[in-house]
Amino acid sequence: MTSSTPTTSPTPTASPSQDALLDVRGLSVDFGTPDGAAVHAVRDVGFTLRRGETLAVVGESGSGKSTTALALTRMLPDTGRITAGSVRLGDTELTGASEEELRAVRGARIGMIFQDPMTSLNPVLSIRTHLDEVLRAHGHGDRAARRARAEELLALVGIPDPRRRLDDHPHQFSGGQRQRVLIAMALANEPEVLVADEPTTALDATVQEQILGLLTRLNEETGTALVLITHNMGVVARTCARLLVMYGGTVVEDGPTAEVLTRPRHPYTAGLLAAVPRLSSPSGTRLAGIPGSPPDLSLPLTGCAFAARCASADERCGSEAPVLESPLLESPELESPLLEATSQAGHHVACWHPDTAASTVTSAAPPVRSRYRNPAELARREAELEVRLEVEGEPGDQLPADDAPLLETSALRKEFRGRGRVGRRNRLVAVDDVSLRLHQGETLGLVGESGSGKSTLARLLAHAHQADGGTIRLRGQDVTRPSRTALRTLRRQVQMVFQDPYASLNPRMTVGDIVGEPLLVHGLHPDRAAREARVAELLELVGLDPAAVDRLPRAFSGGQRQRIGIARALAPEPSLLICDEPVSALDVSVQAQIVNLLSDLQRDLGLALLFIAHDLAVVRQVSHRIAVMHRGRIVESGPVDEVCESPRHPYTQKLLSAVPDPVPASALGVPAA
Amino acid sequence: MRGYLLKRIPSALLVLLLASFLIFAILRLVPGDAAEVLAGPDAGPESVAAIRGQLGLDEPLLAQYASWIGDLVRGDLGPSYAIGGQVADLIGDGLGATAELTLGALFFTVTLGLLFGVLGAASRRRPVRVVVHALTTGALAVPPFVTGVLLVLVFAVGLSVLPSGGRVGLLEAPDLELQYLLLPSLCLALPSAAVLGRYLKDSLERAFAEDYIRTATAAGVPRRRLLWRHALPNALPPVVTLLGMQTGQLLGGAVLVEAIFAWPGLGQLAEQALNRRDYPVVQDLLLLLVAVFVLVQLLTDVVYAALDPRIRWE
Repeated sequence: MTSSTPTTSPTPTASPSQDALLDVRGLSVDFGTPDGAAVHAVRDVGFTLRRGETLAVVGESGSGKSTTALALTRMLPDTGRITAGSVRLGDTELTGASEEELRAVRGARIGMIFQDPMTSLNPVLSIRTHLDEVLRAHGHGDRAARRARAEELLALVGIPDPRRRLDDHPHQFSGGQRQRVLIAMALANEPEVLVADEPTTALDATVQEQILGLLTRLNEETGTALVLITHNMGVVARTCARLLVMYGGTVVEDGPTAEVLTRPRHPYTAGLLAAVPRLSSPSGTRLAGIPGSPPDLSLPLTGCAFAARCASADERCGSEAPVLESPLLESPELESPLLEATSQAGHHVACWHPDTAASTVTSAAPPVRSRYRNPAELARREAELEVRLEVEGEPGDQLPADDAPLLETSALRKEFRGRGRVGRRNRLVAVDDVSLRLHQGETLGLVGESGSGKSTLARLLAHAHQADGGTIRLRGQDVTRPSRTALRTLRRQVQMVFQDPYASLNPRMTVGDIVGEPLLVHGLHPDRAAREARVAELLELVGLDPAAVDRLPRAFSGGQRQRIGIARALAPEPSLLICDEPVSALDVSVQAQIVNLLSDLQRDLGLALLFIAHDLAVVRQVSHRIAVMHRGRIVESGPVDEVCESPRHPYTQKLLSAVPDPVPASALGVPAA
Repeated sequence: MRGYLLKRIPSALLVLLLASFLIFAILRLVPGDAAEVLAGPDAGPESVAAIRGQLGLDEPLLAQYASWIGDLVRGDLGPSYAIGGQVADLIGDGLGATAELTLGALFFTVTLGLLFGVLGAASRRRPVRVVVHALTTGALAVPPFVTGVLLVLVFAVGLSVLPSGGRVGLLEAPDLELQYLLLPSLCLALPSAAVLGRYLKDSLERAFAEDYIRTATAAGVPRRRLLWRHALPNALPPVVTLLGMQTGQLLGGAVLVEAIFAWPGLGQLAEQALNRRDYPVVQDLLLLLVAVFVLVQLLTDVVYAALDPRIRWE
């Protein structure tokens, strides 16, 4: 690849006027790979940011949004380099600046916050040292002045008792507090721009709410312009006035947030919005994923990056790249649809067929029932289900005896004790008095924030931990303390799908071995040929090509890996499937595919599904019933729509109100709830 | 912290007890005993038996072990069998020399290790990194008896700037003693410094890849400060553990290096005593080495906690 990308990039705003604080034009970034090929992570990206403005950059993993953020102050890793374009901050050109000039900009004129507050602070340095280092790096006063400023900053970001906490170390703070400290660091020298890269992704919804509130308040009070990078549409709607959508390293759409979210003009934006689960959608609503997967960035880009996944794509989309056009720049192609595309003020789209796709993508979502192959079977199941749901939250009581709950726990308890502290009370009750029931063919959603005990409960049910109290019954049998042999059969019946599709598959085993292992372990298909046939069948069941058996996990995308994990879990024909945050590591458009797959499998195979997640919107759409967990206890449970619409427990109410809705209520003309 | 250290005492004593048993048992397994060596090759069985009786070697092994440990606990190391004199005096004479050599080697291990590690991980000049890599590889590959001879050839024989061997004593002539100490301690330190440097380089590179370094970079912290203030403190703890283990290597390596440089330390004593099956001297010496090693491990834990605020003394 040559670096001579034509800088045809326009400025999306009216003009590069005096009030443009940050002006990015034609920015392209390549990453070198060990085999010598270049990955074009960012291609011809342009935008401007005015003083005090809030701009959201939205995109999925690989869209180039984080790379763009790092490229602004040239903080790219060693393998990355800017191949074209310019980044102007006021009068300073940053792409050609010296190391020392850049250092003087970083932390002084541009502050940055990153995704993971747990790892972004130095564990051996105190909070005071952290703040002191930023101030000192830009020559802020003497020791005493810096100390006073550090205290002031901690107070500004809302850390209680700042004077005393200054000398504490990062491990003594919670995740949300650490993010506050990072924000304090970024703001220490009163920067003109604050770049926040996924600042709340690692945080719980209620904490996310606080951090976003803080960023908004600081933007209003200090006039610091905010660039918020996120994959979460709800976060965008909540925080930013303007929105930039990226796909495959390019900007596909740019405009006022409310407008882009309610009237997306690019098919990708429309698809992304349709894929976002809404908390307001009732149980059983089907999510609309975008078919296919993101483009291979190591290939040269001809045409629109989204063309391969786009329903409205034609020949031109595949050969000629659409340009994000500005209405005030003279366009030679007056007859092109681009002119039309920029008719609304400040709303730009890079697409040859704007507006056409919005409807196609949203309507592509099939209704829940359409997937059934056998209508009679469907009707029977539906009837069964309805009966059960009608009898309300405790179906087991009134159902026939042969339809007793598949899984039943009563007063389940698990404690963890701190090691070595003699005579000191240091126990953590992770699961406390949990009683729940799960029927065949039913999905129970389990929600709660981190540390609420969800995963511990899952491990108890999967017999990875031994319970300290209470009982677990499977098909009426007490399996709380199973014998060695009983455990084997239990493990067959209860299977798990894990959160991280990257870490939960052995990188040195082929897909065939991964999916075939449970069969081998349980002696299910001792004959090699039969086992291979079963593996192929399982792969097909989860929507993978059976020809992929000989490939290693690294050849697959995140969503595909999660499908492999599901196939592995289904291999021993379990009756209970426990999914612990199965989609939280996935992109929105892929998340929809996996959620739908799980719903289908649950119905088709009549599985009992325990769906654990922190994302209430997802849980609502896949579950029949829901249980809300808080500090080890189940504080509320019931039919999912009922709980979501009229929560009774204050904690549930708090949890529900913290979920940001992707569509601004005001924009829809709906009064805020 | 005092509570923590007190809690470590029982396990330290247990290690010493087990070690004493092993040392005792292994020495008895070596063919030939002190009486045979003392009596000489031409002595008849009766005279050997007589010496054996004199030394108490005809008693049951368990009784011999018990009396050794019993005397030790009372602080009585007893007389040497073959070399002559009291064991305590023999060890006392060599201890100062070996301590000097080991501490000198520790100094070079730490300074050279730091230098290799920091330059290898953080130098922006590729030639520097390549040279450091070559140096550490060389130091690891060449055994001390070769480096020792090479050092003597270059600095003592060729350049005539340093003595080739011997010792004058730190108290008698400190400046001269440093000259005598330089070559043997460097020779002893080189392999350990290379291991430490390699390890520190990896550890530093891992630290540099951490998110908190990105945070500090985004804050505009200068590069030099990123290294010393932000990355190094995080890279050190595993290196300290390694250094603790390397100290054992240094003590063991001293035997060889003392022979090359005619350094009158415990290594020389150990060699003599072992050749003559002088059980009390060998036993007490080895147990002393174990005790030093146990102490170094305790020290490692203390340093570890000082470096990492997340570790609390519970």
